Amino acid sequence: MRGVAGPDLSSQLRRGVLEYCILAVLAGGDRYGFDLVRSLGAVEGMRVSEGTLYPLLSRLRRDGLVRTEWRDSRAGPPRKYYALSDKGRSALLSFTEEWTSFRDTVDRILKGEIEP
Amino acid sequence: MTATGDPDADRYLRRLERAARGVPGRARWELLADIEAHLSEVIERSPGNPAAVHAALDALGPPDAVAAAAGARPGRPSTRDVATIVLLLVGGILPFPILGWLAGVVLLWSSPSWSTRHRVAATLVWPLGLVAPVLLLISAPFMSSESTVCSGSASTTPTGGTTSPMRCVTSGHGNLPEWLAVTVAVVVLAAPVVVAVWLYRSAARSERADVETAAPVTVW
Repeated sequence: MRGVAGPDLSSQLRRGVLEYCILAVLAGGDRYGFDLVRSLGAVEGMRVSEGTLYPLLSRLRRDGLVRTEWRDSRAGPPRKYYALSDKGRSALLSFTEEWTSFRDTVDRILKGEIEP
Repeated sequence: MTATGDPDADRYLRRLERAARGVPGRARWELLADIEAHLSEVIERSPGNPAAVHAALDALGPPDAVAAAAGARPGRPSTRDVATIVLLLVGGILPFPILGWLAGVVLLWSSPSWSTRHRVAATLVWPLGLVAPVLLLISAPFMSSESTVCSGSASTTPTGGTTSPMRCVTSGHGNLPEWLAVTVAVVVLAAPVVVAVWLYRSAARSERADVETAAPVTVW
């Protein structure tokens, strides 16, 4: 019985959280796909392959959490911009609360402060 | 579709296009457009820089993983496709010699699950499927049996003495070196099985796919 081993564990942990990280980045302002994906891919510890972010963005759009818009770039092809929608903003807010209390609880259990 | 102008980027896109066959409808085209725009951006920023493209492709991750993130699941091949593969394998023998295999070939060429490459390979690499290996197996005992023929007989020489110039020749089909015979047997047996597995995988991948678009030849 090895449980969830290394890479599996971190990818499982990331699964439900990554989309809120995207929403959080977009809370700081609109970003176009390449830019958004590159900066998330470059975050140390995220260890996310950039290609898998696009399907996630597509799902966020379908769920109405982000809006997309094509804008011309000064040189080169038009860019697809992602922006946080109102629904996305409130989803981010409730996640932030949930996450903070969940993280604190887990921390306390891990430190042995709580006997579950 | 798939025209960034960079051969490696285009090859990646073609491979993704294939991997994403199981992604339903619009999501598939959106994914392909997004990745294409991403790669175009890379090329735009560092024109004529293959190393930059390679780094970008590495960062994107394998097409299969990208497609899987978009919901592509390797499906299970349809009953019809499985029947096709079974007929191609054993149809040369069962249920009717050769006819079963011919039916398999007809199914093979009329199914959208396979590209022309698959069809040609499956038809030519192992015509009649396992007939050849089975024949080989059946005839193996006979082939290895050796016959010894002795010619000449004791004859009287003019000098009155007798010599026996009996010459015995051991002959038979067993004059193939053993290692060669084993190699041939393995290849003949393995070829149909390898092609069958290849067909099965391809059928599984194209399951859930919409209409087969002009299948690109992808070697990434």
